[in-house]
Amino acid sequence: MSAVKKIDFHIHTVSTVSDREFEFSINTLQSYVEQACLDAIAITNHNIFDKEQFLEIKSSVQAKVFPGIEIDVEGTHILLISEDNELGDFKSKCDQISMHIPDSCSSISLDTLREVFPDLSKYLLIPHYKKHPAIQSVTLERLGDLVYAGEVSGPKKFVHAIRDESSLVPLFFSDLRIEEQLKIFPSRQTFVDVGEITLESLKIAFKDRKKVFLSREDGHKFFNLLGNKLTLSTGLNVMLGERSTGKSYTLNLINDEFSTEDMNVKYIRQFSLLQKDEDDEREFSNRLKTSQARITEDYLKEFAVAVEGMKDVNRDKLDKALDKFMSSLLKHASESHRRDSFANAKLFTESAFSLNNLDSLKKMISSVVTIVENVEFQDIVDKHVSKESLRGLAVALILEYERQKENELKKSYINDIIEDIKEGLKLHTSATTISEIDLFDLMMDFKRIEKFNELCQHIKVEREFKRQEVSGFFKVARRSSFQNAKDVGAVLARKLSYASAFEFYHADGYSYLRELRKIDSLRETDYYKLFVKIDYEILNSNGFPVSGGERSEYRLLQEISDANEYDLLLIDEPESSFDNMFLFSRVNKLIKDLSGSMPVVLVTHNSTVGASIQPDFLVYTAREYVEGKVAYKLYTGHPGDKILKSRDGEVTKNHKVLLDCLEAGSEPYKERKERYEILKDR
Amino acid sequence: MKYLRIDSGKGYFSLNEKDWHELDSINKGDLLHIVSSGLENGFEMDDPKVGLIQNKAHEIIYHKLHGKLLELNEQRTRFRDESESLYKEALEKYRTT
Repeated sequence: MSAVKKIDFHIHTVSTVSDREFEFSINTLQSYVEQACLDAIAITNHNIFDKEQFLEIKSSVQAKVFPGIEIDVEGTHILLISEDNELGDFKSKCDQISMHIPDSCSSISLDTLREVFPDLSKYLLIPHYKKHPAIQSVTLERLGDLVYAGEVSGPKKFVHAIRDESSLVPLFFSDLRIEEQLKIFPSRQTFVDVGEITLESLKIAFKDRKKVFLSREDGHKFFNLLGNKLTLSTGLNVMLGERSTGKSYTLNLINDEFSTEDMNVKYIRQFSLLQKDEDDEREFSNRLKTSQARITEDYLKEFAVAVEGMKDVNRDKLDKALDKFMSSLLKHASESHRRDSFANAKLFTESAFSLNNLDSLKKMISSVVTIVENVEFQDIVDKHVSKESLRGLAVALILEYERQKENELKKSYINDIIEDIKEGLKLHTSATTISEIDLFDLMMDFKRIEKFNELCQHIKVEREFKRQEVSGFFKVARRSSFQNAKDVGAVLARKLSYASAFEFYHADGYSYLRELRKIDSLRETDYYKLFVKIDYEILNSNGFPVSGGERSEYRLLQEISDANEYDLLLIDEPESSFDNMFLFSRVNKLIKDLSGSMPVVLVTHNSTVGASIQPDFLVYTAREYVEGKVAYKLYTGHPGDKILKSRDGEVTKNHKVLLDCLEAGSEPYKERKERYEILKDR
Repeated sequence: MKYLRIDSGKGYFSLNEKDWHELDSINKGDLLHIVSSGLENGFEMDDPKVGLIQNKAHEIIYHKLHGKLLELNEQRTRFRDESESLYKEALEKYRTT
């Protein structure tokens, strides 16, 4: 792999409107290139190319320097990198980009990019791929063969993309702002197997996923960090060392380096999951409720729709409408002896037609069309009903819809005419007008109230509605009725008084909803959450509520499972809080599985964790005194290696490290072994 | 079930087909009862032919209610379909019996 070159093609040297303020330092850039042993870099500032500065950089650093620009295009950022032989032309094109994108809110379309750079194939294009703001697939499709490599934000995403043949070839760069204050350089670079460093040869290499790597010697199995002072496996790393040899210190450094805008670290600190105080149970329960908010929302989805459906239903208004109709009818009838010719006109007492919204018919048409168009279950449908019949049914229903719709339009038109005539007649008579009423709508609203009340009765009955096994525990979700207004108040974060409304809670759903509506600051979208109490509980494998210790175990397993969403998992001495059986049977497997898809660093003193978990790589920390000062030294190697090596070439015996750190030395280990043998033979 | 009847030039209503009351004594509770029950069981009413009801007040009320209930009778199937689909998904999900 002698041809492997180390490159960083995403470097900022100008503070633009899209950056925080910084002052470029050529000395810092020189140090970075030197310390990181970079063979090539690209200068890629936001929507700008500073030719003078580029020439200064080119003449000052010991690496090949490519001119480039990072352009805001259609919601993503694209690095456009050029050969350095046509700087004048490149500068004028970049100036056009600067004019198109004057502020941090602007961006250009792909068409504009093509107008400015008519021959995009001359350049190397690297979009943000698995990095924010990521390129959209539609933009990627439109760019076609012009893009074959994309930038990723961390080793985890790099490894995923390398393994996935359908993905772009991943590239990992620093995205650094080069400034005076920058003292510790990140290890975010890419190794590429290329002979000569030219844009053309790099473009060829970037088309081949076998030619890019995370580390110089070990491909994608390892990545560099801590300013290239440490190499770790992209799988499971176990960090060993006696007390006060810098294990937590090293974890903190890793955490700092990887907690960036683009990368997230899950750091499970020592003792962080232990039971803390008497409120632990309540806090655990509250946290559980918060973390399960999505399940609650999903469970109450249909109920939320029902509450929304009650929005325009008002029982008082219905009563009033009926009352008005009846009293006006009776009054009109009682005045029959003194009716004039205007009031005697038939249309004066004529009712408006009741209108049908044809919803049922619309639903039927939609259902039939869904069956006709469905591809997934076409075989089953074909066995029972022919496509022909279904199409015929759809056409017949659509024709019926058109017929009825025409009829409804006619009725609506006639209603307008009747209304108009009645208004005219009213002007000339003193007879009482009969109030309008739509008995269909009125009765439907009463039905709605009845059904809603029925629904509220059902939902308040206590039920377990979800039981899910989670790493040997059972997560149980239950619904029940609220016991008091305080319980209701605990549902939402906002402190409001529910005392008046709660008086109607056990009466009927409609009345309770009516009272909730009277609470000024309560949002309509929250009403549905206040009808039923949802609780979550974690049960142990025997189905009993968890103890304090089991709560901690559950939390650890959850934290580890959640780590899937992160780029790196750091765990500091899980054995401090848990017993060996739990660690061996539950935790080890989970960590091992997780390390198949992301880098994990596990600090331990425990042989159950350290030795049984079969790590991919070992890191041994040692404390040394150099010129009166404490220095932490890191030795690394594979678990099967005889020796572990430090960066400066020192070695230590792996076997001794394992026995000292995990078994408290070879003598105690021997003694323990003998004791177990005696017990076993008894 | 029969709700409106014409007898001896007057209009009558009933909630149970046994007790018949003169139409000018009907109130909103009675109408609500007739409508609710009729939507379930169908509406039966005497046809108000011209000149059959001599009492003018009864004639007006009868004609109005007859028209309204007749229209509702035609929509009974639609009412049943629509009311059955009300909160159907929610009731199926949260039902306890």
